[in-house]
Amino acid sequence: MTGRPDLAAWRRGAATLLIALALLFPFYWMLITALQGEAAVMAFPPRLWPQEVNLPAFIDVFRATKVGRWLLNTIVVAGAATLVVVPVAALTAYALSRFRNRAVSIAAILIVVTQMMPPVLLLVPYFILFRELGLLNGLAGLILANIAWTLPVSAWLMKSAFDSVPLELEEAAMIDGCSRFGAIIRVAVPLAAPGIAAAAVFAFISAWDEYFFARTLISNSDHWLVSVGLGSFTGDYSTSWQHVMAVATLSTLPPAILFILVQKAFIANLAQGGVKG
Amino acid sequence: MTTAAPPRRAPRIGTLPLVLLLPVVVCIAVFYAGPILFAIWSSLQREGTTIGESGFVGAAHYLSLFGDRRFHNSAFITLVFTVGVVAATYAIGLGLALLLNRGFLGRRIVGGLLIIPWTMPLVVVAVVWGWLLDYQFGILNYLLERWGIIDKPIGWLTDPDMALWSVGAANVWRLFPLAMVTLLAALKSIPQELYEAAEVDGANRRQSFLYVTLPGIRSTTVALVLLLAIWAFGRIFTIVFVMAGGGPAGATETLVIQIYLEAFRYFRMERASALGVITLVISAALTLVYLKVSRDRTA
Repeated sequence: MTGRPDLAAWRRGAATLLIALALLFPFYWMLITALQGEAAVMAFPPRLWPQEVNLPAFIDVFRATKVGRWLLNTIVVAGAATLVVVPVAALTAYALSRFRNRAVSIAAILIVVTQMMPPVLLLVPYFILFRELGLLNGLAGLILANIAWTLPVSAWLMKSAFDSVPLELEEAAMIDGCSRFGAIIRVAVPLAAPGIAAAAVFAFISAWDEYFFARTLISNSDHWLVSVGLGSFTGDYSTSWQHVMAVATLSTLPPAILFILVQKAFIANLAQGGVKG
Repeated sequence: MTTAAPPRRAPRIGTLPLVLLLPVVVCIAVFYAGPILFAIWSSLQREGTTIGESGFVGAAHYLSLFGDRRFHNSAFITLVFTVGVVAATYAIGLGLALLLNRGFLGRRIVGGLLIIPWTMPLVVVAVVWGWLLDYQFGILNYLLERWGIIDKPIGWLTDPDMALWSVGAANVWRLFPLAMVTLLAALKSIPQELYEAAEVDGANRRQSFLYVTLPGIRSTTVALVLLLAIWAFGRIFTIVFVMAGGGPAGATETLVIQIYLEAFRYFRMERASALGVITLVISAALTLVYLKVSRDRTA
């Protein structure tokens, strides 16, 4: 190796790093705004580098808004929906991965199609259905909507986890006297666990991120999710920007931490087109 | 094992798959298929018709929409938005994927950092961009003025000529990591020998990009562009709604936003359903192409 290719690689690296930093500026600005005091946020000229770090903004915001309540509601809804979705989706995914017949391929196509549909089409029917069932304005209805929403895509994401488990292992368990169902639970599911965990995180993040149904099906601000509470700040000039950015930061953290835990599997899923808007 | 080798992956089918698939089929029937049928039925009824009644008006809502200036506006906005978001997301994703595909120190870390926007909740993206683009205190207006690019602040979200670009930019920012990761995987799957062969044949950089790289990522590109188009056309709501709510003066009123406003601001459910069915038909057409393309890809 001569010095030249190294220099070129360095230059490329530096250029890419600069582009990346520019692209990440909105994220940086969110954190910086949340960490500065009120005066600094309104300062002119704006301070690109924080001169003081003001953690109390994160504590104030719990007094100034209902964010504590909203975060709790979000954890309950996302957690409950995930707990229901994961076992059901895992069994569905097993069937999608292991069997080949007409029913299975129709189910697979239907699942993909659910991910392509405009969700807005569902909103009016859900509103009417939930009103009839008495589920408007409560977390139970939102949990149900999120289960319906994430079950098909979670099953689809888990399918590849089962695809990578060799069938021979289950057959061996069955020769040793396990039932087919026993082989699924004792052999296939544990071996597919990393993929199942990644899909579980995906389901949790989807529910955490969900705004569309949460905003429409719930009107009482005590039952809002953090997404709806955060969205309600737009055009509401009584909430200061550093509080808005503090809530934004708080609602970014849980999905970000979960994402880091399963990053590899998540990116593989992402490349397969597990998407939601 | 019996003597005749059974086909792989097809042992004793029986009722087990049907039992396992039952929950998801019920879920799709109740929460997807039922609502679609309801929307189609509702779109053919007189305003204010409830289930059990009959207020059949045929295609009246559709005909009135086709002559409606507001619908023409939102159809046009949706077209511009979809094409713009897909093109920008793809271009930025491809540019970054090409950079990350070359070796340099810290490439993994930079690649990992660039995923961040994808992990941020949609509403967070909307309020953070709303803050950046704020007319009075936003950092973007400040920087552009200081650098002498503009003389007076721009109303990024209040000026009808700018608002669609602003909400589009925020959506592209949330989406580009998806394009980047997908295209990077495609670039990595191109065999290095092809580049070496092109070099032996005397190809310059531009030629090897045109004749090796582009064909190598072609099928991924087609699938990705379709997926982004399906998404931008029918599924993007939150960022646009939170940032601009369809305004100013309908400048960000995509079909999806118009459906929401018709249903939950003007309470014209039947008209909203008719718009929803039109949106569904276009989404379904794009989805059919996507399914065909991705089947050809895996086959």
